[in-house]
Formats: sequence, structure tokens, C-alpha cells
Amino acid sequence: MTDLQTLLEAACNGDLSPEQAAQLEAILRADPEARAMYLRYLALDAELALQFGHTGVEARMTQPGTITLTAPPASGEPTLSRRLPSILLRQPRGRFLESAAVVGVILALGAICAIAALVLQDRRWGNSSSGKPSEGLIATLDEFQGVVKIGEGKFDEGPAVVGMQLNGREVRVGPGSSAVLRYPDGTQLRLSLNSDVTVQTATWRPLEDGDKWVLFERGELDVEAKGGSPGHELVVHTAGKMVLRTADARFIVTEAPGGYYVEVTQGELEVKALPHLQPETVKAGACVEVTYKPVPEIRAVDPRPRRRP
Amino acid sequence: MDATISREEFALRFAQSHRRIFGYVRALVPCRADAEEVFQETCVVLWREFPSFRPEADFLPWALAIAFNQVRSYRHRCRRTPALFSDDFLESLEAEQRQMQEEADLRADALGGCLEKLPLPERELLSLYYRQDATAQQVADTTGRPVNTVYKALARIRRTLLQCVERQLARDSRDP
Repeated sequence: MTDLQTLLEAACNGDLSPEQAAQLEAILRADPEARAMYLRYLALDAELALQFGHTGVEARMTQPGTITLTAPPASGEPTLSRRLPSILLRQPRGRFLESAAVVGVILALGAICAIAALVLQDRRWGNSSSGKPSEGLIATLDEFQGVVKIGEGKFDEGPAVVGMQLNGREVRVGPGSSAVLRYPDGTQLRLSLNSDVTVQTATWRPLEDGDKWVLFERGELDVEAKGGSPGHELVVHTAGKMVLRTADARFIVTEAPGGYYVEVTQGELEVKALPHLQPETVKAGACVEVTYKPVPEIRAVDPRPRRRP
Repeated sequence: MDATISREEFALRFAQSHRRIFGYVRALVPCRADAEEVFQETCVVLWREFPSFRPEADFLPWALAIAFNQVRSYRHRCRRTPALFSDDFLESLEAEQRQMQEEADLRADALGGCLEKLPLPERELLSLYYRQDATAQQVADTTGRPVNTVYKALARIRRTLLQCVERQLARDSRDP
């Protein structure tokens, strides 16, 4: 008979055979301690999957011509990234380089994967007018044909069919990387900065045609929203903390200590700190800081010097 | 309910509860890939049914009830692949899982701290395995390690993390 620990590991690894499942059930039925251990073990496995970004929420988008991108939602409480393995997920540039020296092998692997990414991108955009994608471009709704994962130097492409929408696909931008996602109407989402930004399609969320909805939490998001269909807009959520809403604007939202910076360079943006504050309209040239300690607050600040993409 | 309010309400409530929902499903569906599929289906149903949700009600019990229905539905579909618990045992396990919900956030917090204490190579291994949703074999191929070594390393890391979480929770209960 296989011991409990082995069965728990098999369950975590998805390798539980029918016989092992029966054995596990017999053990758990007989022993309350074993049941508690099983629940704790599986809870750990689930939390690891969440903390490392894989939630398994995948493609169910049905509306053509729309895209929804979400970061994995975190707690709605007004603290940021409190459960994230920050060393892995958000390394400042200096720390990353320092770590990179230690894990040179991993970076070398990343370089190989990056080359593979370029080769794959070349292949994918081989028939485009330029013959190559523009720098940082990883997907467009019209041309995207596969799973793209760029994270910490890794790149994978999965099975796809011609004409597939960017639905249920997961995009990660690792330290030093950047990526642009383009909607058919010209709206662009540029994900950048030396942070780890995870973007997923919110497949559980049907959209109205023309609307765009983004859940963003970490790093920096540079948005150029175009009008799209009349009456529709782009909404950026930050996991229960803030809502940005616009029909036509250029803005950058950046994670900051205790909240976010939002800088509008073109058009108008409605900024609302959840759960209660009234929305404020921020116009081109203005920058606001949204903080959550001790209570949600939106205040005007000077634009911070930043590297423009 | 106004569509925009509904959308924001759902996002807010889902963001606050999705960890517990996923953990709940994961405990009732031993296969990770299947658990993720059930979780996806649960998310779809939650969104679809959200207009019928009463705003004054507690979102999590409502969501867990839907999740459990999805687990049942999944089991019904997968009858011919019996790597599942029996129905009566699933019911009792579900009840115990619900009781664990209260400490789910504490566990998540403790795990965050424990992960930061983990040596870098072990974090990298977890990252490869969980972030890319890889199999142990894929991790082994990527890292050039034998697959058994990967299995053993994952088991050791999980045990270490679980012990760390338990220690942290015990410490927190002593010094709240």
C-alpha cells in the first residue's frame, strides 16, 4: 500500500491513478488527521499555482473582435501584492541583475528561448508587409495564432489555428521584456518595466462587442485607447482597488507603494478608487496618485520622470 | 442591476474570493488539470449567474455552492475515468473543506513569507513548474535533471513550505 505522502504528491502532480485514488480515499476515510493533511496539502498546491500566476482561467471568449486581458486577481484589500513571492515576481532592475549573475545558466536558457521566440515570431509574421513584427509586438488580434508566454526569458508557443482570436491566451512579460497587444481598432496595451506583469484573458467574462476590459495589478501598463465602436470604452480594473475608464485616451498606470500612479498624456480618463470614491476626471497632462492607506484617496501629483517606450 | 455596476461588483467580489474558490475546487478534484477546468467552468457560471446574486448576501458561500455543482457535473461527465472519490466521501470532504475556508487567507499570507525564505534554486523550480503549468517531465527536460529528481525536489519543497506555513500559523496564533 502506498503511503499517504506519496499519494498526496501524486495528487499534487496530477498523477493519481484510479487505484491510488481509491487508496487515498481509504486512508482519508479512516483518519481525520490524514484528511486535514490532504486538505492542507492541496490548499498549498492551489495557492502555489495562484501565487506563481497560473490560475487556469482560460479561453471562453465568444465575442469576436474583443479582447479581455486580466492579471490574476488578488485580494481586494487595499494592500498591494501582499501574497506575492515578490523576489520572483517583482525584482527591481538592480536586484534582477544581481540575481542574474548568480543564475547565469537560467539567463543563458532565457537567451536561447528569446532567440527561439524571434524565430517563431519571424515565422508567424513571415507574410506581413515588413516581414518582421515591430519590436516588442507579441500579438495582434488579427494575426495572433498561438499561445504566447514570455516570462523570465521563456517563450512557448502552443497549438493554434489560423484566425484564432487572442482568447484564453496568457501573456507574461518578464524583467527587461516588453510587449504590445493591439486591438483591431488601434488600441494598444504596452506592458513594460522591469517588473513581472501577467496578463490573461478573462474568459469567464463575456463582453459586449466593442468593450475592452483589463485587470492590471503589477508593473506598468501604457495604454493608448482608441474610440472603437461608438458608445464603447476601455475599462482597466486593478483587482478591486481602482477603475479607469475611457473611450479615447493615452495614459500610463504604474504600480506604486500603497497604490498606483496614473498619468494621462492625451484625452480624458475617469479614475475611481474602489470601493466608494466618486470617479474623478483626469485630463491630458495631469497625473494622479491613488493610495489606499488608511483610506482610498485620489490626489494630484507631479508627473514622474519616466522612460518613454 | 446596472450592467456597469454589475461588472464592477463582480470583479470586486471575485477578486476577493477567487483564491478560496480555486482552493476549494482543487481539494475536491484531485487532478490539477481537471481542477483548473472545473474552476474555469465555475468562473463562467458565476459570471452568468451574477445578476441573480443578491448584493446583500455573502458572495463566497454562493460561489462555493456553484463550484460544488460544477464539481458534481465534472464527476458526472468523467464517470468512466474513476480516479475520483466516491460521492459520499466527497460530500464529507466538501464539508471539511468549507470549514478550512476561514484560515485560507492566513495560509496564503504565511505561504508568501515562506516562499521568500526559500533558496533561489527552489523558487526557480517552483516557478518553472507552476508558472508554466508544466509537468515534472517538462521541468526535467528544461533543467536537465532526471525526472525523479524533480519529483523528489518538488515533494521536498512542498513539505518544507507546509511545515513553514504551519509554524507561521502557530506563531501567529501565539502572538496575534
